[in-house]
Amino acid sequence: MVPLSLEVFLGTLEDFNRTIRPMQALAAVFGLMALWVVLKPQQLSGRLLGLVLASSWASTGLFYHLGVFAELNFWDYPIGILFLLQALCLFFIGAIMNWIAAAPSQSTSYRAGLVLGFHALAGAPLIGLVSGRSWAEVGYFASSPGPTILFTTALLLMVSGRGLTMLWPASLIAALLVTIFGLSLGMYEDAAVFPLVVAALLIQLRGRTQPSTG
Amino acid sequence: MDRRRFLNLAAATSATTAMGALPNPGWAAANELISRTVASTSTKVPILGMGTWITFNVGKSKSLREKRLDVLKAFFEGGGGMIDSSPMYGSSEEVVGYCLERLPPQEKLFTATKVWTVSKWMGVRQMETSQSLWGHKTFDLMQIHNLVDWEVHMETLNAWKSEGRIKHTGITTSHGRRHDEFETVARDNAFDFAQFTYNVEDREAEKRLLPMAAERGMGVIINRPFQRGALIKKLQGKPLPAWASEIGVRSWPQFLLKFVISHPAVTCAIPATSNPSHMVENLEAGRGVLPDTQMRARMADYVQSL
Repeated sequence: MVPLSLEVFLGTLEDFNRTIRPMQALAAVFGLMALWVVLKPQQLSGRLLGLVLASSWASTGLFYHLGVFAELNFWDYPIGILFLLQALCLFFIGAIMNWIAAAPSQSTSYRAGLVLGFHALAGAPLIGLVSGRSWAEVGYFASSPGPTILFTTALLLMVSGRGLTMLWPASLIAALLVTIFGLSLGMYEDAAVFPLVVAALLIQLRGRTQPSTG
Repeated sequence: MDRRRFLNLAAATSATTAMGALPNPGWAAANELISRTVASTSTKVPILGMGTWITFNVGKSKSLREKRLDVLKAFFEGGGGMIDSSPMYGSSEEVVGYCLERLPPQEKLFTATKVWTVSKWMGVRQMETSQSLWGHKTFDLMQIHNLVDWEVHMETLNAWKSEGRIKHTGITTSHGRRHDEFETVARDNAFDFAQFTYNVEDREAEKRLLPMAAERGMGVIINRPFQRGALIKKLQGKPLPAWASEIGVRSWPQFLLKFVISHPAVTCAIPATSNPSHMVENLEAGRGVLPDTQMRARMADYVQSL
């Protein structure tokens, strides 16, 4: 049950996006950097990925959920806390422990991750724009839950390392709530989040069960 | 007043009397809604109130708040008085308070909200927050929302009632599947009001909840009279039956509301809208004649046949 109308949701999102402008563009640059260090791994790739992803979850949880939408929707309190917890996990696994390892690969999982990464940064906002909404009525990576979850899922498909499995439950729960919310309000890019995360998880599980050909 | 209107009002008055409610002494006023009386305190409540779920959850937006102010003006000008909200409805309570502050004091205002949390301490804090958001030190009705921690809150509500901080206590559910538990709680405890879902398609409440409330003299507030808008969508474009004019119905929302409020055990229904003209249209259903038992059966059959 979503306690607000599409009109109010979009109006609030618009105010939020206009207030934080140009952070959306800056976050997209950080997202592209994260993709770059996955494609061209460096010594500090794992720490950088952890830092970028942790920041994106923390900012979405703190500002979008707890700061803005919690006033309108009680669900945003637990979701905001979930985002902050996921941010802590990402910070610990990536930035502190440097457990995230990036290596180029020809696997289906890697390619799917790349496509999903670009979808999260550009495709999902584009769907919103094509649906007739203004730039400010669309969600973006690191400031809105849908693109943030999808971008994290994309990177999870492309990297390996200890502790990454523990990141999936929060992603799945958050994705489910975003999809329910998207379906309720007719936001197609948000409605697609849970199916995409589930598909990504299945691709990764399938990749793990298949014998390595490399 | 023309003859037709006089006859309609006279019929309405006798109908409410027959239903065990007092006739409204102000019935001659042009915009007077039919009212029902709560047995426990003899308080009269207009038969149509206003729900705030989604519609008043507009946050800080000044333009949207001003639009809701227009809705509330239309509500009071149309004879409405009972407003129902909840801490669960996001910023709705705050927006109601914002609107009330900008309107002249309303004699008929009947303030109803809910407590929706766990533990006594959290409940008290939440109710005090509601007082502050509404800008009212006392509430006419405080309800326990969806049975959440009801045993704990019931003690607090009874204490607040004896201190005069609230006038009535109530309990609510909007989950049809919890009717059994709701009935047990409402039957075994001394609540003044019960709030639950009832409409022309969801008539489960007719079996036990409505008779139980009538038997116990409880006030009954009906939520979701339009089944969260689904009934309006379903009936849109379908023809109203010719005989609808016999009960003064000119639109589907009026048809649906007349059905709900004509049940003898119902004190009021609380449709929600963000559109002032819809508010005016809705309130029309609370005037004139109400359908009798035969007409109600005809109404239900007709909707089912569509």
